[in-house]
Amino acid sequence: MKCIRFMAVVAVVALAGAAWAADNDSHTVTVQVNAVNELAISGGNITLTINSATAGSDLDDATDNTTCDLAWTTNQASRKITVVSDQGSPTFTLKVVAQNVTGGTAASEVTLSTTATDFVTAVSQASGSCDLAYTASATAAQGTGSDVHTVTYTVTAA
Amino acid sequence: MKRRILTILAALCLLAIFAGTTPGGQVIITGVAPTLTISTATPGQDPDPATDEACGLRYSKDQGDPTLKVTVRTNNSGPSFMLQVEAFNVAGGTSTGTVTLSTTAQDLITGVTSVANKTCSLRYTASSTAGEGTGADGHTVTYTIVAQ
Repeated sequence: MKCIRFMAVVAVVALAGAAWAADNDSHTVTVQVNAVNELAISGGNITLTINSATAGSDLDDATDNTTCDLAWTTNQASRKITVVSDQGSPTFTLKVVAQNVTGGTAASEVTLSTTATDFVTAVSQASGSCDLAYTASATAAQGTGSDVHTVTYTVTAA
Repeated sequence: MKRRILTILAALCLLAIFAGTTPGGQVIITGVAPTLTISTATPGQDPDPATDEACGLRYSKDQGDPTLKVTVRTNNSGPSFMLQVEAFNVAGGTSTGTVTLSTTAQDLITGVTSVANKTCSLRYTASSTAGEGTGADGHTVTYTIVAQ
């Protein structure tokens, strides 16, 4: 009888030991993707110089659509890009429009002011880019001088 | 009657002994289970991938086992974002390189031949496109050591 009990214990212990022989292990890995709304201007600062005119007309506009570009990434739906200037009382008119837009729709040309105005609408949940086309204009009566604008572009909810 | 019982118990003992020596080895995950957070991007490009190298594996094989390998799989059959893992600093076997996790077990380390405890580091990489939006995936990632 003792022998049977001993053998039974040995069998139980041995089988349990065999069952514990792990050949795998697991853990939990979480991937979290937060809202990403990134935007950058390339090309640096820009100067528009008005220095000519057609005789009998106002001064010729100064334009630049090659120096600066805008690139953005958003992983959120229903976004747009606005533009605003910090210049509250410019002497001359400064306008900007998006050209060659990918990942959105160009709004109409914007006359820059301190009020944020739509620049690119229907921005898709993707990356995109555009050229920045600036136009500066002045009337003869506005004389000479210079305006400095800090122009800010923002990805925001549509 | 006693003889029958003894025979059955002896058979159970032998079964247990053979089960214990069945090829298999052991694998253990070390380190804290990671959360990979994607929250930045270079404008004009997809969001930046997130990586984590805080975890590793410790694995071994038994004397007499055949050559073993370590496989990896996830229980998440429909993740929104891509999760990859690579074994590096492998001491014992050969890394197969970067594996994109799926519910199908895939080789992560092959050619485990030596008996001593071996280790490797795990590099997880999560990536998403802007079009995939925001959210979270939970994966139960399982590493298994099996005969090659």
